[in-house]
Amino acid sequence: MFNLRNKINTQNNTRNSSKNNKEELLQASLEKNIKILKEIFINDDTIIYRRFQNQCNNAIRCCIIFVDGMVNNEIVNKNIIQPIVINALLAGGKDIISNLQYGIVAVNNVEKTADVYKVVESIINGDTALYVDGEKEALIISTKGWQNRQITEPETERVLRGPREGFTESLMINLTMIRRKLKTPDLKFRFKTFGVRSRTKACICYIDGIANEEILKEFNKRLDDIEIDGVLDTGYIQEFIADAPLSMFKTIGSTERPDIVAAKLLEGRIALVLDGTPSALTIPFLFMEFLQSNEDYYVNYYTASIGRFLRNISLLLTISIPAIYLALVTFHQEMIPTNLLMSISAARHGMPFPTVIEALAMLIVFEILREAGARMPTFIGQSLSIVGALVIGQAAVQARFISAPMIIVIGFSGITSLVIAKLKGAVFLLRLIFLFLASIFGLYGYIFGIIGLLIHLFEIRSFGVPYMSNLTSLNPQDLKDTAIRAPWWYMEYRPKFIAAKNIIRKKPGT
Amino acid sequence: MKKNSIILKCIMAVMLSISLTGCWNYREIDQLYMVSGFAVDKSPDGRYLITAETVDIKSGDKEATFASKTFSAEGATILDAIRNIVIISGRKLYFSHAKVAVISQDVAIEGIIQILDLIIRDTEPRLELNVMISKEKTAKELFITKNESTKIQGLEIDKMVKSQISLSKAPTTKVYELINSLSTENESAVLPAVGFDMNAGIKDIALSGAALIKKDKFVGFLDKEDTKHILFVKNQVKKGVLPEIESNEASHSSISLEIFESKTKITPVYSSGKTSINVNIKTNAIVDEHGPVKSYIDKESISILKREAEKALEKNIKDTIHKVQEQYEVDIFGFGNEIKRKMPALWKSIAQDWDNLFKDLDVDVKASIDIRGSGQISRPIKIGE
Repeated sequence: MFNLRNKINTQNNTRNSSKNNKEELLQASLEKNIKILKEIFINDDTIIYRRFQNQCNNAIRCCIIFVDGMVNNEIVNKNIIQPIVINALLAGGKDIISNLQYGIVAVNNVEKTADVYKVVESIINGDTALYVDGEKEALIISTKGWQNRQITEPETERVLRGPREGFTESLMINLTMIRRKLKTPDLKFRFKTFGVRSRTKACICYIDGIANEEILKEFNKRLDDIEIDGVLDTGYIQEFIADAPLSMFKTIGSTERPDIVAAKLLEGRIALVLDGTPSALTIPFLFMEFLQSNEDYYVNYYTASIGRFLRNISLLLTISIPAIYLALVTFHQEMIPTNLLMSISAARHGMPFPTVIEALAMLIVFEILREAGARMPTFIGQSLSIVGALVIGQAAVQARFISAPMIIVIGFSGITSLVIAKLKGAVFLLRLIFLFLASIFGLYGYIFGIIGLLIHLFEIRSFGVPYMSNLTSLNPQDLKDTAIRAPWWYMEYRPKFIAAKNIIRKKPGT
Repeated sequence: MKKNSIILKCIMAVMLSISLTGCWNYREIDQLYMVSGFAVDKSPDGRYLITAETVDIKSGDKEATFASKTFSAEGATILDAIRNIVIISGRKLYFSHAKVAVISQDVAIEGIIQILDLIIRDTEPRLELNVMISKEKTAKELFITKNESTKIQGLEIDKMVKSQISLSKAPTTKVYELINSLSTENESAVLPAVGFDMNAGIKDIALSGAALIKKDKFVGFLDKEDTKHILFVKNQVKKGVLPEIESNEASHSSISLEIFESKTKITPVYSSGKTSINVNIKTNAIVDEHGPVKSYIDKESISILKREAEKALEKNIKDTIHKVQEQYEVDIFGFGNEIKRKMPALWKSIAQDWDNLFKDLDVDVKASIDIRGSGQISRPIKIGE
């Protein structure tokens, strides 16, 4: 049994590798051709071989091969089998394949090929192959028709105002969603295939004339260098082509919303949509994008700017609060107002653990609760929040395990981290690092941590664009979309590092 | 195997050194005795006696209670005495939140420089500490004697100092201000005095006037009213009440003026070989209390009221200045400094003899009170016939 498997595997491997070297051509005999396919698809029972012949001309023997469930049965029955079977005038002969392609098969996309592997790939992709006895060519008929998920609003990127549609797992549907938003011939879609085994289709989208060609070239180059057997999500690709692979900050954006992709394309960014996953990649990705939300651009700019401000503050607070609290309570008691010092001191009175241990334990407990919330089925969520609130909130304080101020600090730090959910991994790590530094050096250590973080952030680039670009500028046009969201009529230029050539979004002063 | 165990030992050493040592300056907040105030006395044998009042926290089921706990210890120097307290308290005293330093008269007569030096040299105490002189025999009894055990005297005194701004009857002298005025040539400092007072029949702690410091030595006390007049001259009155207005016509009809703003300008004058000082006081006030007999709330009588009030204020301030000039001979008003600033040439010639000159210095006080209004009502309440 094992030997057999190995044999098949090696066979497949040799076939895969041979594919690149030489083509295997179709034979003139229908039976031989079917046999070749059956060898390739050995042990695969989902492949259907349907033989039929013209009712008037028995000499025209055909076979269609497709994967059960991946084709639209109606097309196969009505537009392929039926016309060929009942056509009384169908004559055999030399150009029967062309006749079928142009005159009989009523499907929108039909291709001729003589390459067995082209046939195999098409079948796997949901197309139907039509073999005719005596012909060295086959027709590949587009019959893709599998079940798709409904277009729904992405759970992770909900908005109160704005489009409600999100990407699905189907590449073509996703592309049409982008196309529908940007009806210009300048919008380009370039297909690529990833994964030696998964053969996953992907599409690079950009707007010609806005997107920076250098970045596009670099992007293509990095994509071509990817060597992997299967790609199930854009996350795989993201890690292969990231600029700072060891950094905890990602340099490639991902979204499930077509409106975000369209907006980024208009800014001159490039998107990659992958078949089989609703999350699309956008490059280049700047740090500011962590703090931006698509809703910012749909609501009033005051509301949006307040949102931005809160997110900025939340980012600072969530990584700093535990560290600052620890530093103040254990190193710099003189910086706490007297009355607050007395309350904290009273709360800490008789606590068994040092403040550092308290903070560490609570941080980890919070992360565990959050992780549990994300992993478990939604209907248990209710009981989890009760257990979480009761166990860590009330009971721990009442049993005098953990001091109450620490619960407040960690709770606040946790809530603020939910405001910037896109950064959650990095935020948790930073919180721990700062806490550690503060526990050894006090505020001094915390400040050094912040300095180190800034140095790191300023050193990263995303496809040649500085990660923190525009944040240090004093030019209002550079700052229009950073800490605040300027009104749309003020957004006259595209981000200058990204859309290098065509940066005028609208005529200034109109 | 051997290599592994070395690595393991190294890792353990690092882990233990992080988790077991008291890190540099790392101290848990509940391991500190927060000092709210301290008293500096001299023991009979001439050593320093430090009494520190700390906040003792007793955590209950729901609420924590704060009580005052005093420790005292002797030592050859002040710091020695403070450190000696650790033997009694068991925990280190934490002085960063100390609010008051009360100095007894015996210590203050000898000089307060040593105490101030310790406060600013040591890292913990703050420069906004209130330095005070005890009116009682010792300073420590202010912290030890109290009505309620939960009352933390240090914090209470601090509250008194902060809230008496609406009264202006005690100087507020923080350490940095004190050092400023002590280091100014020929200027003396005024410190708040603190002692016991009767509060609803019980002996209780209270601010009571000012203590005068010459160079760095204590010379005497002034009562609350005199203190207010000093503050007027020193331009430190922010709020307060001017009560003693007796009208000629109806002596029992007294009126309170509430001060809203007061500015004082001191101008030295030199004419025909004689130096004198003009003190100009400009005060905004409103009528906030009005006796029953005659209404002063109309244009003419309010100007009478204004004149009366001004006269009374001028007289009171003059009296106080005379008292300071004659009794204590200390320039607490900063007149010398004012001359030095405005007439440096003149100051050079008189600086040597300033102490004597100050005694007989002519001081002219001009007060101008601007009565801005009469509170929420205009006329006094009429008594029905």
